[in-house]
Amino acid sequence: MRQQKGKRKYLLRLLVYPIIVLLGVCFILPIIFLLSGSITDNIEWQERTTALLMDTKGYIEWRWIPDYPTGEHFKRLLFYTPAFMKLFWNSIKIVGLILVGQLLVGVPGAWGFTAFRFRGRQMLFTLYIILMLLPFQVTMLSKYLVLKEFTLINTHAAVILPAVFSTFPVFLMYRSFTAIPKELLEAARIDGAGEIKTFLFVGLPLAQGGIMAAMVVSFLEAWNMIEEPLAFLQDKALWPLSLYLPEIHIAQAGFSCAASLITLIVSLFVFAIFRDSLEQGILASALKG
Amino acid sequence: MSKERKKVIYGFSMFLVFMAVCTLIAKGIYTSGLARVTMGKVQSLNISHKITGLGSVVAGQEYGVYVIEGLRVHTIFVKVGDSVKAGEALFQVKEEDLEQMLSEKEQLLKQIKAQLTDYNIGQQKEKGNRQKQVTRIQQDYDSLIREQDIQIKQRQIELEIAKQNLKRQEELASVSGGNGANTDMYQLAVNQATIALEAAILNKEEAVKNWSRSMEDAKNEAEWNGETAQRINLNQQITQLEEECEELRELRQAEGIVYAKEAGTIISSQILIGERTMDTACMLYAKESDKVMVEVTLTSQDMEFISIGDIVTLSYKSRDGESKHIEAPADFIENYQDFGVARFLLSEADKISIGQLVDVEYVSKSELYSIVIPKYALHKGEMGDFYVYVVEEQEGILGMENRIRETMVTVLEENYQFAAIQSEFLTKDSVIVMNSNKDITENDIVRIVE
Amino acid sequence: MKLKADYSCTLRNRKKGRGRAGILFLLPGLIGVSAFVLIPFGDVIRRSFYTALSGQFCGLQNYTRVLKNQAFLLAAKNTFLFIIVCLPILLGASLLIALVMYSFTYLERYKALYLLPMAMPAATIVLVWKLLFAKQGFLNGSIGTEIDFLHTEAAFFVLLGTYVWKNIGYTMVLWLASLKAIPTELTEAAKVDGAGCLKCFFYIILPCLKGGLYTITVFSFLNAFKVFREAYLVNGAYPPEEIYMLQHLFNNWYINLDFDKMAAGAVLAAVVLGSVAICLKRLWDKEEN
Repeated sequence: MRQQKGKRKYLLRLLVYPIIVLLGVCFILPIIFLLSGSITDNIEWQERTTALLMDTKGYIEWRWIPDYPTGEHFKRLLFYTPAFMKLFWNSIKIVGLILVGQLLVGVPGAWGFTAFRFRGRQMLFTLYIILMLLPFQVTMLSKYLVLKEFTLINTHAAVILPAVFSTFPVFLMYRSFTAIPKELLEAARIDGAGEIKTFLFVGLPLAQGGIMAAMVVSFLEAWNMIEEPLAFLQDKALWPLSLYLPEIHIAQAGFSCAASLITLIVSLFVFAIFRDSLEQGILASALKG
Repeated sequence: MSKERKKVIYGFSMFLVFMAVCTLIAKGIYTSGLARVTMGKVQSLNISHKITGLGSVVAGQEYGVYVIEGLRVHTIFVKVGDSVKAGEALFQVKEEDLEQMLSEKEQLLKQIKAQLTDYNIGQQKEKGNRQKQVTRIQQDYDSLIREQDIQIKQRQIELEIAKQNLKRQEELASVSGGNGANTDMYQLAVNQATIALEAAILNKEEAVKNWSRSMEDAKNEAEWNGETAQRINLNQQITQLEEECEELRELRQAEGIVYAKEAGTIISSQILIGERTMDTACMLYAKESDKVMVEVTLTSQDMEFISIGDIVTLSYKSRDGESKHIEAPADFIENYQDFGVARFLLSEADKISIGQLVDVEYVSKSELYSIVIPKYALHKGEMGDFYVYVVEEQEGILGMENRIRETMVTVLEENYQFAAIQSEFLTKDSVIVMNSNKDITENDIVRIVE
Repeated sequence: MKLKADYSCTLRNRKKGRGRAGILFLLPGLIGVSAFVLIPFGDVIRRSFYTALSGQFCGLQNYTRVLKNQAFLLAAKNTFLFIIVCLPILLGASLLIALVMYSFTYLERYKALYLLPMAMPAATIVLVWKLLFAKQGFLNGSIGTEIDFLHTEAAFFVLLGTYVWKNIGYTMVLWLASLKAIPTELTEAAKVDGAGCLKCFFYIILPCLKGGLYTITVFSFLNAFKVFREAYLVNGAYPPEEIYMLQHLFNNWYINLDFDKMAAGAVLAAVVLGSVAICLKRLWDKEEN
C-alpha cells in the first residue's frame, strides 16, 4: 500500500513540479523582458518594433539577447538624468516616512483592535474596512480640500500623511495579531506586565512576521502609488519615482526598461529583506515551539 | 536577524550608496553642462556718439594782394603761414622795371589824351552839320504845306460851284416839271468834287506825316548829346592809365616794396623771384581781424550727429609744444553724397595759425533713453531682427530652473558701446542676460552667476 | 482551552479596564484616520445632497440622477461583473497552487517567482502589455491573429489576467499561512481514520481556512479596484466599454467638475461595499464563534 502511494506521489511530483516551476518562470517573464530590453539599444528597438510604432502590418519580433548589447540606457539613466535621481530620492523619502508612520500609528492600532474589547469595536473595524475599500477617486476631491485647509497641498506631507493613516496596514496586521493565543496575553498579564509592556514584549515579537508582511505590502503600495501624488503634488520636483515611468514615451522603450529595472530593484531588495517573514507561516512556527 | 537578512540589508545599503554616487555624478554632469550667464539691469542712458576728425585751420575769407601786372619780382619778404602786421613789407619789385613801366604808361596816357581831344573836335563839327539839316527840312516842310493848302482851296471852290449848279438845276427841274436826268449829271459833278476835296485833304495829311517823321529824326540827331562808345573807351583808358601811373608812382615812392595793408596771415604766394607779376593776386592772406575757422571733412554717418550750433572740442599743439583744447561752435554744415564738411568758428582769442592741423572731437548726446544695453548683450537674428536674452524662472524637476527666452527688440539708436532698444516685453527695470560662457539659445537651462 | 476555563472570571473583570486602554492605543491612528479619511468621506456624503455648481441643497436629486445615468449603470455593471469573475478565479487558482505547495514543501522555494509580479510598477506593466498585446504584439505574433487586445472587448480579459498575475503570489502566501496554521494533528487524525485526500480537503482543511478567507477576500477585493491603474495608463479616461469601471466614471466626473454626481455615486458605492463587507464579516464572525 505504501509503495503504491509512494509511486503515486512520485508520479505526481514529476507532473506537478515542472508545471509549477514553469508557471513561475512564466510569471516573471516580464521581468526578464525588462532585463533584456534595458540592454538593447534604441536602434535595435526601433527595428524590432517598427510595426507597432508605425502601426503597419506585421508583428514585432524579439530576441532575448540583443545583437548589440549596450549599457547606454543605464549610463544615460544614472549619469545623465538628474531628474530621475531626484525623483528616486523623493520616493525613498516618501516611502520611508510612510512606513515609519504606519508602524508608529498602525501597529498600535491593530493591537488596540485585537487585544481589547470595547464597545463599538466591531463597528469601528467594519468602518475601517469600508474606508479602506473605497477607491481613491471617491474621496479624491474631499481629501484635496482637507489637505488644502492644512496647506499641505504641494508638499510631500500631502502624500505621506493620508498614507500613514490608511487603514489598510491595520487590517493586514489585525490577522496576525488575532492569531496570538489569548493565553499568552493572559500569562503576561498575570505576570504583572502593564499594557504597554505586554504590547511591546509579547504582542510585537509574536506578530512580527505579520507586521513585516504588512509592511512589504504597504511598501509596494507606496512605492508604486500614482493617483495620490498626481492629484496632490503639482510641482514636478516633488514627484515620486512612480510618476516618472509613465512619462517615458514608448519610442524610448529601452530607456523605460532601464528605469523600470531600477524601480524594481528597490522592491526586490525589500522583498529579499522580508523574505523570511513572507514565507514563514505567520505564527505556526512560534506556536509549535 | 538572520545572516541572510543582514547580507541583503547590506546589499541594499550598497545599492543606495551607489544611487547616491550616481546622483552626485548626474547632477555634476548636468550642472557643468549648463551655460553660465551673468545678468544685468538695463540702464537709462543717453547714447553718445563721438565724432573725431582731423581738421585744419582755414581762413574765413581770403584776401588778395595785387600789384600791377608785368613787374618783375625782386625780393619776397614773407612766406606762407607768416602773420603780418599792417604796413609790413611783403615783397619788392625791381625799381628799374618800375620806372620803365611808369614812363611807358605816362607816354601812352599823353597819346590817348590827344586822341580824345581830336575826337571831341570832330564831334563838334558833326553837330553843326546836323543843325543845318534840320533847318533845311523845316523849310521844305513849310513850302510843301503851302502847296497842299492851295490844292485844297481849289477843290473847295470847285465843290461850291458844283453844288451851286446842282441847286440851280434842281430849282429849274422842280419848276419845269421834273427832268431828273439833268439833275443826275449835276449831282454826279457834286460828288466828284467832294471826292476830290477829300483826296486833297488826305494828301496833305500824309505829306505832313512823312515830313514830320523826317523832321523828328533830323531833330533828334541834331540834339543828341550823349556819349559815344569811342569817347567812353578813350576816357576809360585815360582813367586806367592815370590810376596805374599813380600806383606806380606810389610804388616808386615806396622803393618798390609792397606793404601789407592790414594784419593777417599769408595763405599762399603766387609769385616767384625773377618772375613777372600777373594780374591775379600775388599773395593770398587771411585778415587777422577775420574770424578763423577749422574745417573738417567727416563721413556721412558722422555728419548726422552734428548740426549748426553744436560745440566741439578742438585739440592742437601750440607753438610752444603745449597741448591746447578749445571749444568752438559749428558754423557751417554741408552734406554731399558720401561725406560732409563742417566748419567751426574760432573766437578771436584763440590764436591758431592757418594751416595748423587740429583734432576735432565732438560728443553728441542723444535724448535720454530708458532702456539701454551694452552691445555685447544684443544679438542679431538670421533675418536681420535683433533680440536679447532674458531668463524665466520655471519650476522643474530639479527645482527652480532658469530658462532662456529670446525677446525681440527694435534698436532705436546705437553707438559702438551701447544700444538703445525698445520692446513690448522690457521696461526700464528689466534684467537681461549680459554675458554667457557658452552659446545659448531659446529654452536652454542656465545657471546665473553673480 | 484549559486555561480559558480557569481564568474566565478574572478575564471578565479585567476586560472593562482594558477596554479603555485599547482606545488609547488606537487614538493616534483614529485622529489621523478621521482627519484624512473620515472627514473627507463625511464631506463626500454632504456633497451628495448638494448641487455642484450652485451649492444648493437638493436632497436625493443627485442620487436619482446617478441611478438613471447610463454611464453609472454601465460602470457599475462592469465593475460588478469584473469582481464576480475575477475574485473566484483568483481565489481558486491561488488556493490550488497553495495546496500544491503545501503538499510538496520542496516547491516552496519557488514562491518568490510568484510574488515578484506584485512588485512591478503599473507603468512598466503597461509598457510590456503594449508590446505583448498590441495588434502587432508578441501574442498576436505567436498565434497569428491581429486582435487589438488592449482596445477592444478583449481588454477585459487582459485586465483579468493582469489581476490574477499580480495577486496570485500574495494571495497564495496568505492561503499557505492559513494552511500551515491548521494543526497537523487534525489531518493526521483524519488520515488515520481512513479519509482520502479529497475528503481531507473538504472536511478538515476548508473549514479551517474560513478564518483566513475573510482577510483574503477583502484583500483581493481591494486589489480588484487597483486594476484601474493599468487600465487608465493604457486606455486613458475613456476606455472600451467593457472595461469602463466605476473609477473611470468617478475620475471623469471629477475632471468635469460633476462633484454632486460623484458624491452621490460614491455614497452609493460605499453603501454597497459596506454591506458586502458587513455580510462577509457576519459570515466570518459566525465561523469564529
